[in-house]
Amino acid sequence: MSGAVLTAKQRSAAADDPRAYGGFAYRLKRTLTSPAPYLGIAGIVGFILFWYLTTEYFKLPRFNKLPGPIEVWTEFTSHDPIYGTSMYTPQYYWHIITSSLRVLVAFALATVLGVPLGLFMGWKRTFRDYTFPIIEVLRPIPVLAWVPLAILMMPGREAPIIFLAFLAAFFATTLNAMLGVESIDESYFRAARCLGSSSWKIFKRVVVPGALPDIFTGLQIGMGVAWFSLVAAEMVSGEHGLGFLIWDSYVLSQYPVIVIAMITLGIVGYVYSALIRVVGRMLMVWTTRVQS
Amino acid sequence: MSTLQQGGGRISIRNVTKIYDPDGAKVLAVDDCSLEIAEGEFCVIVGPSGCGKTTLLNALAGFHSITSGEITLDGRAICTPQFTAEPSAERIVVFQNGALFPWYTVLENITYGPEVQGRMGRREAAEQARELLAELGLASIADRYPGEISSGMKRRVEIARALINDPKVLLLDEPFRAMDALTKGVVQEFLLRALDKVRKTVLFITHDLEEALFLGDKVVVMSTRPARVKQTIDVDFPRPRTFRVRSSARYLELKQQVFDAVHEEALKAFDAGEREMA
Repeated sequence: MSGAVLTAKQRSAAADDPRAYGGFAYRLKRTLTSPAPYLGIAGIVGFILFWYLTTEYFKLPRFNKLPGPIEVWTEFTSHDPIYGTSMYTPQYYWHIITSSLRVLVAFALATVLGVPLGLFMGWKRTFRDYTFPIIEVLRPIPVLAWVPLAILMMPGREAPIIFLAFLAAFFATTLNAMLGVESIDESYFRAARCLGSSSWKIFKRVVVPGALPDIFTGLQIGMGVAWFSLVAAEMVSGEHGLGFLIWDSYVLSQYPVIVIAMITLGIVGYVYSALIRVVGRMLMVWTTRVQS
Repeated sequence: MSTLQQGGGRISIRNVTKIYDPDGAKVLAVDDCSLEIAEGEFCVIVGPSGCGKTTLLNALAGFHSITSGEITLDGRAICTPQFTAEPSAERIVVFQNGALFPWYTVLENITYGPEVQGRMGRREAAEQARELLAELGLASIADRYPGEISSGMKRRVEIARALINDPKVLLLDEPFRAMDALTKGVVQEFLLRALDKVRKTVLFITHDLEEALFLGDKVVVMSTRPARVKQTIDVDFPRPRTFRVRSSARYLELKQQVFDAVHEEALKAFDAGEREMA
């Protein structure tokens, strides 16, 4: 072989190929030149228009009780909000931070406990046989059904709320990690054994990376259901947080605040999911760099 | 080749029988099969689909047990009814559908063996792997992921991944099965060139007769299930071989011989309506 010269040349050629190394700028440019983002914006505008027309312009029956987009926007951007919550009031952020912290603790617990448990369940048949039935029976129980037990079991006000968010996320992270291991082709295990791997090396170098795509699917679902259950839990027994804010505003008939809190929930939830996706993409370059 | 070459690799398969027992229905997959493969010999097993060829290879690799008989490697028992030696880097399998780890680059796949066995550190393994890749003409794809390269390339990398461990025996289970004829030709020559540099004992399973004659020192024709050795044909083309052997008169003669033997078995398998068993 003509060896090193050829190698170096080819390697630099590969580095010049933007597709192979998928730089951020390249991806951003490709996204902005495709119709997708603009269609998305058009969809959002259409939705707000529908909301405006039904609630504020035509004031259709049943819709006329709802706050319209202009009312909500005015309240949200007011320095002196009628109901005390806007982008200029510290307590708005306090609610976001409280809910975020609860979700992050619950999510971290669900990841740290659920992922290893799921990996182990997928890897060791006997362990799976012990644990899977109990998880399958507990999983369909709606999180709200756990509220009384959570309050009885957990001390204080924070622990039950975090527990409920954790519980929902835990099933998602565990089961997806397990499915991830089960989806790994048997020939990878055989190849690893042929190449002289110990059991631990197989776990580290085949089970974990092989299950990673499904683990991240589980983390995304887990984050979603953690928010979902958190808000439910905060409505029942919170003193702060976005769920509490929604319920409290309902009780006090401060309807625009409900919508402000709802939209905030949507945006914050989206940001957390997107963060997980980004981390996943960084850890799994091999899934995005496939031959076109 | 950069790796040290260890000797050995004599395989002896004596009176091996394998009975599968799925759902209580006993299936005789391999029946009293005996086969000797000399050190450094390239032995090709051909036979109809589902005849039990893979069963034999899996027993040799250490993936499952046998019902009776004995398989030895350099006189040491590696598979008996009581005992199946764990799979190890002295008997490396190249799989039908390929088993490069998609989460590792080509280079990381190659260094996998030396690293997990603790034979080399990361740096040393990477150095050796780059050397090996350059020698085999694969240097340009070292930092690619398997998903980015063609199936022909993948097979070459997989062969390289096996060779860096300096195995005694290379077990190939229809490795070029799903390839188009042109790619197949290229990869076959790649395998021959690699083995010209380091002789290895090879057990190669295929149902492509042309492939069998082009690659093998010995072609073993198996009967339809249960697998027995029906006929052994010595292929005496000198090495190193090129694709030109395929147009020699001797090649046609041998091809006719193998074809006659296999055809009879294929008809039997067809009449029995055997389900294709990979």
